[in-house]
Amino acid sequence: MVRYFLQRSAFIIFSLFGVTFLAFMASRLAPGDPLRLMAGDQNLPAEVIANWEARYGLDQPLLVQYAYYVGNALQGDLGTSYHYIGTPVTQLLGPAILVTLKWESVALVFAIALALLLGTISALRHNTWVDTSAMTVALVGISLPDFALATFLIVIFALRLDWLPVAGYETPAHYVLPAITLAARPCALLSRLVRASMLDVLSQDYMTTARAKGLPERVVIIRHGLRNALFPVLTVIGILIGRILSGSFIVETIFNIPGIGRLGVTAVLQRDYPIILGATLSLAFAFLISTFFVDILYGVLDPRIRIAD
Amino acid sequence: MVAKMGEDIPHLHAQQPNNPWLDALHRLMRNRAAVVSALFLLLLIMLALLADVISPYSPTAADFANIRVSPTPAHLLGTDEVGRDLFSRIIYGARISLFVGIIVQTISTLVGIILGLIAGYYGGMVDTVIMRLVDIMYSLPNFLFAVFMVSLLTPDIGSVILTLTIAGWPFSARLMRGQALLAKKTEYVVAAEAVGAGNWRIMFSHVLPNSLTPIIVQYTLGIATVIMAEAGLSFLGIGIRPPNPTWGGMINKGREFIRTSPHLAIYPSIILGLTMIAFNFLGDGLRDALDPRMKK
Amino acid sequence: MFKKSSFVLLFMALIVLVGVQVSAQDGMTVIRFPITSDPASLEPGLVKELFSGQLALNLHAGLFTYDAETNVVPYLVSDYSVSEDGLVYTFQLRDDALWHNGRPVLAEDFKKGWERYLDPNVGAQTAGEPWQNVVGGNELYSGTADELTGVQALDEHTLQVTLIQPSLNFLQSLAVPVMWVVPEEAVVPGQPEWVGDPVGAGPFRFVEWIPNVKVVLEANPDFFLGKPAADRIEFLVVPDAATALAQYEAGELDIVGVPASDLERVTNDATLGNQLQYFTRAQLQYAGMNQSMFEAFKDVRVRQAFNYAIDRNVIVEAILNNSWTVATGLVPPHIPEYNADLQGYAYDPTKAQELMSEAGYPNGEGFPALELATLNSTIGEAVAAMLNANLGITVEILQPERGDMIDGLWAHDRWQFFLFGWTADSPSASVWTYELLYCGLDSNFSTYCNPEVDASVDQARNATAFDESKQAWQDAESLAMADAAMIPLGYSRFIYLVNPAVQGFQANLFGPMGFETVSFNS
Repeated sequence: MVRYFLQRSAFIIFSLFGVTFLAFMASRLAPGDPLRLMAGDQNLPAEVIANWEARYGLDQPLLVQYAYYVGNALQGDLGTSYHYIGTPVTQLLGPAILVTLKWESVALVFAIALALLLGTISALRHNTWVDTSAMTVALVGISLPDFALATFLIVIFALRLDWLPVAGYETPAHYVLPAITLAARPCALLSRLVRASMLDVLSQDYMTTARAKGLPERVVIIRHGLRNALFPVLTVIGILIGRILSGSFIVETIFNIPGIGRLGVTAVLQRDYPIILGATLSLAFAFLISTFFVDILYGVLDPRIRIAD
Repeated sequence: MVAKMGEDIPHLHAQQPNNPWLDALHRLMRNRAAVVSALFLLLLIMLALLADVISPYSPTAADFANIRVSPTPAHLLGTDEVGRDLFSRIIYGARISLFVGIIVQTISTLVGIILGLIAGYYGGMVDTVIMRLVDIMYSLPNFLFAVFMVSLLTPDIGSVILTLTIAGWPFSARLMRGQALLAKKTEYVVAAEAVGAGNWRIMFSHVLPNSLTPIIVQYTLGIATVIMAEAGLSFLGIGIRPPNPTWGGMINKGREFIRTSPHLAIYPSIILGLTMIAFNFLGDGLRDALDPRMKK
Repeated sequence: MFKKSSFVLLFMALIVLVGVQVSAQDGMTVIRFPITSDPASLEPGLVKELFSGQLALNLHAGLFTYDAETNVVPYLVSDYSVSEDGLVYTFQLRDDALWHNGRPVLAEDFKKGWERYLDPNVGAQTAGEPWQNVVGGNELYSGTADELTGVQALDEHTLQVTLIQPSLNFLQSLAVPVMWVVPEEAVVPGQPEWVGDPVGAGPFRFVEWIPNVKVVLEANPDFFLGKPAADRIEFLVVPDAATALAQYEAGELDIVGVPASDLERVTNDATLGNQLQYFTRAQLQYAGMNQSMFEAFKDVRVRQAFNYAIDRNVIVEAILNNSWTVATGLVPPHIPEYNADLQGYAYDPTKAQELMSEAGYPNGEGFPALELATLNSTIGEAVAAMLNANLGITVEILQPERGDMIDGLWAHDRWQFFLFGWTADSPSASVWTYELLYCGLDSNFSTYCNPEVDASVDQARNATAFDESKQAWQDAESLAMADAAMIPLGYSRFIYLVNPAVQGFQANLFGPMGFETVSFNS
């Protein structure tokens, strides 16, 4: 177990180095000068550009710059933003990550709960109209780009029906529409997976045994069926968490949520490299950690699976 | 068990006495959803190929006297924000969207197959290097990565294809490696090795054919993912250049007019949605058909 | 106690029932105004884009400002005089103006503040134009002097500025926020950063700036023209224009710009139609033809053909729902040098085709593929379709992010053909006829060069009498139009939806004014 933890930690650290190195080199080799973008609508004199270059260390060799970056990052310093002059990247990333975690955890819980429900019901009512309609609903979720879904939701629920606010992040009501938009895709994928997995489990011998023992159907389904059906689902959830975190830019833009997805992509468009690197680093970290936890959870839920490489 | 999202859930294809592909085809034909989906996609491909013949107007010709008109007999699905025929643009859009989806998915699957085979079959250092690279690619935030890549290159169809291919290959590489690891232990590979068959020969004539099932399924579902990803890029204006029509670009432009002329966003959304559903049904159908153990 | 609270409850219920959208937080009046991205800086001299400029009008004050009719009016100045030769300006500052930290605004603050902007480490934008004409400006900027000798504080409230040459528009330049200053104790010397919170002398004080979310200002009780009526202004960052409009309609914003795509619907809406407010604006929307990047644009016949091939009436009426007016020249109406006699290029596809044939591209044959960079893809697509239909050439559209677009324009080496809007920061023809056309100028994004136009521009810039200057500007503009230096498309307007409870919202030719005149009438 200890060896496993060490291996995984080494793997996570290695991956983070790899990710930052790739992102760092790509950003420095990019065409276009970030300092010109900083200048906004106006044209900056060459003297000003030269001064700024020195200030952000852009006049050093690439590998030296990367070494500095890693050294500072290890001390919790991700540099200062180009766009928000003088503002530390961590100060911008921190609140953005918190906001994203908040509303996206709502979306994730929503997606998982609904997927379990839809998937289980479909499996139990296999090949009936219930199954068909539940799976059709699920399919619609994967079939629309999120900007289309978000727009339709706003027009219907915020403007026509006036039930929910259009955009913002201040109250729980603000989370509903973005959470539905974001949850649609993972929910569709998961519910189909739950259904298939559940169908598989329902035909297993231990289910028949459990029924034969006279346990109530509800107990059989939940304790023996759902629990066993969850394993394949868990791996996918781990990956979904990572994917969801980084895929939220469009939703955060349309619903005007100041989260990490919007910050990261805006930074790409503004060539604000310190923020791009910081966002990449924290999103990669989130992905690695979430898959790590899922692996552990896997072991906890199923003692038959030894945690080992 | 079902493999989703291209994950490498172990999956061993058993050798059949009869022609297994024919059997699979028979099973596929019995799956109504899959058959309808396949027909729909075929129709779509036909439309895309014959766009020049079928579409009533040029996709880029604007009729400024008829801007954002609702559907009429002259314009079956109405016209867009500069008076172009929406029906024609959707047909030509199919050409570009399907082309991008198929090209990207084909190249990334091929790259993934080769690297995954090498990693799984040889193991050792080669395996470590390839799989660590795959791990890094996996942990990169994918949308951010794609936007970053495209914005580094000049946004056009070439950079979109390149970027989505680079983002896509690790999925099939990981899948292929898992398959190769399993296949390596099977009797016929052991036997082939015993009679002294070359590595490449074993990999491509024994390991690969016995690992194809999940690859084919993932290939089908992946095309849908790529089409969707291109739509995402068009949200930022860095997808395929206008006035070339793509579904994603049309939906995103339609968003601006959703309150005044909803048909601009709705029709391309419907066709894109149907295509996604079709690819998913077909993928599921193929999975069930190719792996008889799935059928209960 | 009971009575009071139940009264409040009843009142609140009434508000909800009647549906009057009064923005109130703890009894405060708040104006919620959207901005599409964070300001780059809150220091007036470092203003780089629209939003910093707008924030500066609320947070800061300068010697002069522009009123609602875009006239230069004294702001921190109570009285001023100009010497006979037009070289020495003496400003008497108000003695009742305070910085937000409570210290009086002194003449010395302007000398130090301007010296700060001339420090290359600070990266101020003003380091060019106006200072070239102030004694000592060039020396300080190039590092051969360490004092701005042409600016002297004669006493606490008397400031003297000495120019090298007389200027017709020196006072105009002082009315632009980039020439407003901040107290030295509030900023890091030699760096573009604040010490603690931003400090100004304007009608509103800084409360907080949450990046990506909002900038909040509150009424300054010590403002020298009296405390503003609105208690707070929240500048909310809303990147998506459709979202901002929807938020306004749902009562989540008090003022919002209306995109052309929704103008028709908003105008015809029974409620929203009455909340529309139009303001004239000094902006030229044009298509630039970059001659250094695209060889064919060096041929005047090609440039004229492009001008004839574009139907401006269609763009303005059918596509933009008249949110612009058709441009007949370069200088927008309401600018003193506007030339009402210019006819512009009429839509004439036949003539356009003839010119293309003469230039060696009959039916577009042999004309290289062209890339059009634009921030507004609808107009871009219309232009591309017109050029394709009328001239037979292929135009593909690039949609760079705003910052990237501007970067490419200044660099002259990214965009062959581009749609852009050039907005005034002073009411003078110089903004367009000089800045966009003068040979070798960085802001001449088309890399156009015509010595005849330049000669007229020089004459206009050196003129000491307004009439002479106006005539020379109009000559230069006519020459440039005949030479098809660019493709003027339209003059834009500001179109806002304003919450009926908000009174006194104003915009001049440059944009919305400070919110000190805005009040609530619930």
